[in-house]
Amino acid sequence: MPVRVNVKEKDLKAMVEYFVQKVSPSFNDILDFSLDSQTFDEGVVSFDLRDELIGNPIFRILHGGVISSILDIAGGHTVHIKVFEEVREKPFDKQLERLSKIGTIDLRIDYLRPGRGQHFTAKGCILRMGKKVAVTRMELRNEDSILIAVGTGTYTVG
Amino acid sequence: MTDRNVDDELRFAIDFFVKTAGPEFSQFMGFSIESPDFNTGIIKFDMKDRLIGNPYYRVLHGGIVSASLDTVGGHTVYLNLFHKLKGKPPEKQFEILSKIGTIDLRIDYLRPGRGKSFTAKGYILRMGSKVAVTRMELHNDEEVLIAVGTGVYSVG
Repeated sequence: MPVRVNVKEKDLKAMVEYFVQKVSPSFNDILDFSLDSQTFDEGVVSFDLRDELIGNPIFRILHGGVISSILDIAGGHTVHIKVFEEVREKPFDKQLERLSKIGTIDLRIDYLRPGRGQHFTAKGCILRMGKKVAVTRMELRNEDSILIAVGTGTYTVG
Repeated sequence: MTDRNVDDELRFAIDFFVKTAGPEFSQFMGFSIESPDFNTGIIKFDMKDRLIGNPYYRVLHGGIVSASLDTVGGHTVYLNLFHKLKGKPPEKQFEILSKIGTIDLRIDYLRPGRGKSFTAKGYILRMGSKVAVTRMELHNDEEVLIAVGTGVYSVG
């Protein structure tokens, strides 16, 4: 299923949908997540447990690679929406130019507890938004708000 | 000159890993395991449209880079531990091997993930009784180093 964009702000929603549609089928499709960010300051990524996302079939917990991917996506998405807020008055092609430069440089994940649950939410916040580099903090929780993993991501922004 | 018994044991270990460690996710990635011995994990995969992150530059999704390095790190720990547990009853081997899990992962993205195919390699830095530490590298088909990582896995 393609990524579901439930981002609140209308212009931002259009821009994120544009990016999402550019690549299909994509890696994002197997993760099957939705983007539920309500503000420009916090990126929110949600998804349900599915068989394809399981790492250890005996314990039925999330694959470590799925966790790192989702946290990387949460961090990158958080940077994306923050950069969009800065360029929202600019013409579309200028916005696109800025936004397509975003890429991960560094990612660090601490796996705190097994990825057990039915529904997961990853949230990201900006620690630092520089001219060339942005740093984010990310957290992954399940439906009982249990903290499963945390991460720090560094992204190019210029 | 290769030891026939070691080859069989290695083949068995790899087959078992493929069946039990996130098989559907690995299949989606197109991972192929080509580990030559119990101390080196090697996973290869080809570039495919569905692995792309940035469609403008046609480079690997950052999540694929981290997933492939995490998988090869865990796989290297698994191989090393599998070999160490030889001789123990199968249920005991299985019990210990199924507990391997990532505790910490750190990836440095050095260059854009461009290429026709990729190779992820893992090496053991330290195999403790409770925790193992690995180093991982991702190269493309032209031997360009795309990303490096350090992984920490629980083993006990």
